[in-house]
Amino acid sequence: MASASSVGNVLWHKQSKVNAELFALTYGAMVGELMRDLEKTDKIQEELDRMGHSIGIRCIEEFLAKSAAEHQGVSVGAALKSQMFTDTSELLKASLKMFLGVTAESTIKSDTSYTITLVDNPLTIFVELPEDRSELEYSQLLCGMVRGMLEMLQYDVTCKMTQSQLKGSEVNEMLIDLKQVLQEGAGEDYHDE
Amino acid sequence: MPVHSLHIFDRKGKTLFTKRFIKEPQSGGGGDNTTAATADPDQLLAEQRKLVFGMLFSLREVAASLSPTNTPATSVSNSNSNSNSNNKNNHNDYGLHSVRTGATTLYNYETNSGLRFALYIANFQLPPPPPPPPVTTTTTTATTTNSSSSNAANTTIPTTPGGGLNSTTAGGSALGGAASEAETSTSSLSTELLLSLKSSSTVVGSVVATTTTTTTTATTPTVVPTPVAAAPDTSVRAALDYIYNDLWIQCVTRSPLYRPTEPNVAETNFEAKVTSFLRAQPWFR
Repeated sequence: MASASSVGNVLWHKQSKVNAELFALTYGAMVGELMRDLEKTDKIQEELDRMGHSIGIRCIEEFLAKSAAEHQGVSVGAALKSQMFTDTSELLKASLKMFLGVTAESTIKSDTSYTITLVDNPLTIFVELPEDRSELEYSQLLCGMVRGMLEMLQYDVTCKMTQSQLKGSEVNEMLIDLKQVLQEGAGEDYHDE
Repeated sequence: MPVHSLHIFDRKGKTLFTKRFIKEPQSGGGGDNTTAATADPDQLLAEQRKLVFGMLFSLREVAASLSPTNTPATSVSNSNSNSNSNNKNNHNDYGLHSVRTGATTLYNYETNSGLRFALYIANFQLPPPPPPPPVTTTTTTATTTNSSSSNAANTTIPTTPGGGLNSTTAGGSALGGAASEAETSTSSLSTELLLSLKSSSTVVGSVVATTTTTTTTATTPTVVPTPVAAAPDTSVRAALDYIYNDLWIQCVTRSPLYRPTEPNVAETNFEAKVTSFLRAQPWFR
């Protein structure tokens, strides 16, 4: 949709930016560190996902705030939230553009799932997966980020990379699947307090 | 007129941040346990916060259920792209803005991520401003009449910082009850100002002086935005918007020390920034 990508573009230009290579190398160093600390591939992936989740819950706030400022009170998120889950794909594309500068495509698979396709992944520009780690999903952080962002919008989703350029595919693809819509309401903390 | 307090709640009702600017009389002076009624000030405050959250939450549910459900799916993209029409965008904003009593108002600013900012403030008229910084001439002429008509007892016309020629003219003509678009005749402006302003002569002088010299319409992109609207509502809301967009996001959300699951806003410099920002508002006092 034109509006989502234009929002993403505008926000991207307004963001202060970091050198992409520095970013990719830092991420790579971090993954390397994780490999040394937790030997097992699935633990590493879990850790990356957890990190991504905590990044995502912060990113969504910033994205919603900035896009609201763009449109004087009606953010892309506000307009989309009240409607279908699949509209969050637009929101994700805009935010991926805003934070990473990547242009993504989305394909709606059903009412409760869609895929996001990235032609280039800024995290993997220098990366090759070694033979013994061919199971590792290097960009799991992105999946965690998506999960965190959608969780703050009350959607409990699973997100996994279905295609990855590091594993030989042409594009990178994430599949986002809605598990359930979380209910709003005062949680137990409200009563405890 | 003073700001009483600021509360920030998350989606679940947990208080993320709270600050009292003046001592409430019921809390017994903050620690004075001699009266039987104020057994435990902290508990009372916690109760109060829960009540505030509960009220805001319930009102939001009510507003959502009362509002029309047919927000047309197709026009969503239209309203996003027509960013020059404020009114159209506000149609999708069904959240509660404010709760007003005779003496005080509770302003509520909700974000899509469930964050709620509640600013409790005594009702006020914007005082005639000190020598004005450059401001935008925002489209607040309509709201100027609303506020002046709703505060019938007080005949002071709320004026914007004097650089906004257009709004002050509309404020002057609001005496007659009609909101008009900008007329930039300085002679009529000055007579109306002299008639209507109860401010000190120095302020009138400065306003009149500035009308002849300035048509400053420059925005202040990076500087803290002084409230440009004459209406209290919009200026407070703009302030809350700034607190969220710039202060909260920058200080808290981006802070590596902040943990959303167990909020420790105290470890960021949010409180200091918020206090200094609010003190800078002309309506703070």
